[in-house]
Amino acid sequence: MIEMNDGSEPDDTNKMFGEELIWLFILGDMATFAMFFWIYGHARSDELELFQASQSNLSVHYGSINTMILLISSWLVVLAVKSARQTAHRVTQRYLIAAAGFGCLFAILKAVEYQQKFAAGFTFETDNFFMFYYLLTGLHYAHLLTGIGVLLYFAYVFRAPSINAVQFRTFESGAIFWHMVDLLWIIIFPLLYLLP
Amino acid sequence: MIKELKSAESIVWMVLMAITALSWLLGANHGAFISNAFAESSFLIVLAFIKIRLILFYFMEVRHGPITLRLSCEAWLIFSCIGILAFLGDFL
Repeated sequence: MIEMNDGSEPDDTNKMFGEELIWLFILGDMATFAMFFWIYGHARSDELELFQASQSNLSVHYGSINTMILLISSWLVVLAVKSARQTAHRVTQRYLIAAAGFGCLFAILKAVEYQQKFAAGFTFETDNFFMFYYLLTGLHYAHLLTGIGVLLYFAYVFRAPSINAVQFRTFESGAIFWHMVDLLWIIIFPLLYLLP
Repeated sequence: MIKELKSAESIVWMVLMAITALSWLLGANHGAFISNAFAESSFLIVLAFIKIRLILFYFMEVRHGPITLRLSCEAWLIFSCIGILAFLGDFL
């Protein structure tokens, strides 16, 4: 059983949440996505009318609801980490399963949206907007599915009444990964769905 | 549950949901609140980066992390945001 403080905060102001390696991966991944976002911005300003016309085929409502679903899921992971610090492992398990459930809901809604776009004839090759749409949302989808697997794995790990400090650190890294899935969607959402 | 709702992270989560609702409203009614398209785009992008900063610093606990991590995250936020706005506005 690992010793933790009151369960709400890390015990000092210089404590790294998660492992150093996960932060290297996360910052590298975020930097790669940032470059994609820049290229998208450049392409959009080059072909503004085409991007606006193609974007009008997406539903702002789908994008917004999916954003809220991921925010709920991220919050559940925050609660899972808090309860894990209080060694309330059964509660942690429930939060993680619920978070994975919301992740699955996002995946299902996105799959429905993909199916609708395909049925309407919008594919990767339709134009540059849809190329970016499938590229950015597809890369995000891969991260999302990985993240759901990570959450379910840790829900399984927390079946044990006690875990060691190394496992706990790995769990924190998993939580960070899930928050990154949310974070990336938060910028993909306005770029693809909201811009005027 | 009530105790959990009073935590800083839960307040942050409510702010994140509120900002998302505002973005949804703006995105579904282009030009209704901000007539200039680039101003509206900039507002939506800046709102997104405010949300991202909240997630990084509160959910991912960067605010408790070492200074190198905090600075790396701040640098990513600033460069990403300014880069996107510069490209969208065709300044680059």
